[in-house]
Amino acid sequence: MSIMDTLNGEISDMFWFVDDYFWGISFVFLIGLGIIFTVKLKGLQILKIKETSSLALSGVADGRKTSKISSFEAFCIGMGARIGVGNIAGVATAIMMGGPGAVFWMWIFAIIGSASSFMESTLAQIYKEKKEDGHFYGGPAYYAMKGFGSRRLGIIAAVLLVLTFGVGFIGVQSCNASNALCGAFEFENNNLVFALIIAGLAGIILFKGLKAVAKFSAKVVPAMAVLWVVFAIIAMCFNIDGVVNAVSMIFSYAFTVPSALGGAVGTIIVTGLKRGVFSNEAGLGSVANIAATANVKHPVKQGMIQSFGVLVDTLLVCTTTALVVLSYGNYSEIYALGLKGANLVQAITSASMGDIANYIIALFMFVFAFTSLIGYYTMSEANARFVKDSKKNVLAIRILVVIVAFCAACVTDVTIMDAFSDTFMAAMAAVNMIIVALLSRKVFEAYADYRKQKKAGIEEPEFHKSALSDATGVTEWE
Amino acid sequence: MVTVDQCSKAIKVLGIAVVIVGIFTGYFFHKGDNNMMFIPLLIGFALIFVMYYFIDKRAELVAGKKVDKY
Repeated sequence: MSIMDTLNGEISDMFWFVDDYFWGISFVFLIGLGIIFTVKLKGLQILKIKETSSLALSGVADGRKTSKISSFEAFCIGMGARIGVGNIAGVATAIMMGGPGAVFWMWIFAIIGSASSFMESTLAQIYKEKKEDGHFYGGPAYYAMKGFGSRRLGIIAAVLLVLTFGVGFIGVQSCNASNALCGAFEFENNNLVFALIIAGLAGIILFKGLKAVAKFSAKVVPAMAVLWVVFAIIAMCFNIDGVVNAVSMIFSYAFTVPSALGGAVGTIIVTGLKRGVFSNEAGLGSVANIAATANVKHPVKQGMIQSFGVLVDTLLVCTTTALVVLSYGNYSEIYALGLKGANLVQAITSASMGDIANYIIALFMFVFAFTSLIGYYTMSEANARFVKDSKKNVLAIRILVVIVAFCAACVTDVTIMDAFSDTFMAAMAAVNMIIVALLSRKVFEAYADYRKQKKAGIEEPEFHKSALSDATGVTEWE
Repeated sequence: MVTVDQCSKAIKVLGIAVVIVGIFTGYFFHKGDNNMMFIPLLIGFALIFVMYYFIDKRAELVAGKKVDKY
């Protein structure tokens, strides 16, 4: 038995075993607390969507004027991290494993998760810290340490995050992107060539520094998301008769398992949750790292922007992918193709658009994976600097990310990376949600302050830590 | 009238209970008994809601007042 067989067999089985139990715990915390936050915030993620969306698109010019990261740039880096292979391959996998109804549950969990994203991003801004390079850093590690006065808890969160995103998620993104490219461009040792391209490009961008990362993502991400939606709409036009059926299937299979699949309703719901969380990352604390870097006048602004990002990721981008797949025909016809992930999307789109669709999907996968990789690096660096703020640590993380991207892209079977990332994603979600819940009062106080200023007619509310009943650990916001 | 200490104890006990219930949820999911999974899951939600009540209550007692309305 080769090393790869052992990795993909026994070790991934071990991770999948642990994964089921970790997800059992995470499910309760993610959904239970998400519902509580939604109620306490009075459904702001939906009822204030006009405000959150206009905030997300503001500050476009700000980043050009200063060396600091603007609100819009932080939104784009966050979207760059969120919009990844999960929006294409993940959605297709969700449909194959859970049926069309899994998409319905992805929507439900996105709406609930959006409140969690508001909470963690606002908390990240409250507890952010300016380092010697003049940039802000924050996220679960920082708010755990500063909120509870426990550096140990912060280090646990930081290490967990680096394992989940710096290794797991980057591995999944690289592997999926490489597989899609190999599927479209077949030649000898193609996986090695694409691994070198992905890792090489990542190395060039990562070593140029955080501001360069922000500028790159700010340009690429909006264009990338729009182009994908446009491409998906064009693909749907080839199966326009199937689009209405696609929407109907999403609702009709929300509580009914397709006969081709078997199993129980729980499979649909859990599949929708897992793929939804993998895609929009709500509650994982990942995007909170990015939210903390933004230069804003009030923490709630970033909370609102990132909560909007969750909805864009799932309700717009994932939905367009789902409609492309489901417009192909009835679920039994889709299931009979016997494909999953990006290969399923490639097969369906190439059936109507020709072979060019294979190349287009492959390139989208590459770009999506790449910008996600950049976003995950940003988070990993912030957490490495938390553990020890030194140039050696930053260099070590950059080298780790490039090596993981290269090795994962060489691998043809994504099973081990999926198993690893799923397990640590569940652990990260549970730990982060507990911390956010225990510190939630700070967020509600900040939100109350924001609303009070808005009601008083202040267009651009400014936050001062005196608005909090207990500002212990808050080092900014004088 | 609950005290801060009582709230802290309740949070710890309920947190552990949620984790145990979550493990049972995972157990049924791992067995493939996805419908049975909903029993511990719903119990877990109920426990979380109660746990959060105590988290909120403790924060209110420490601060000496409720969060302003918004």
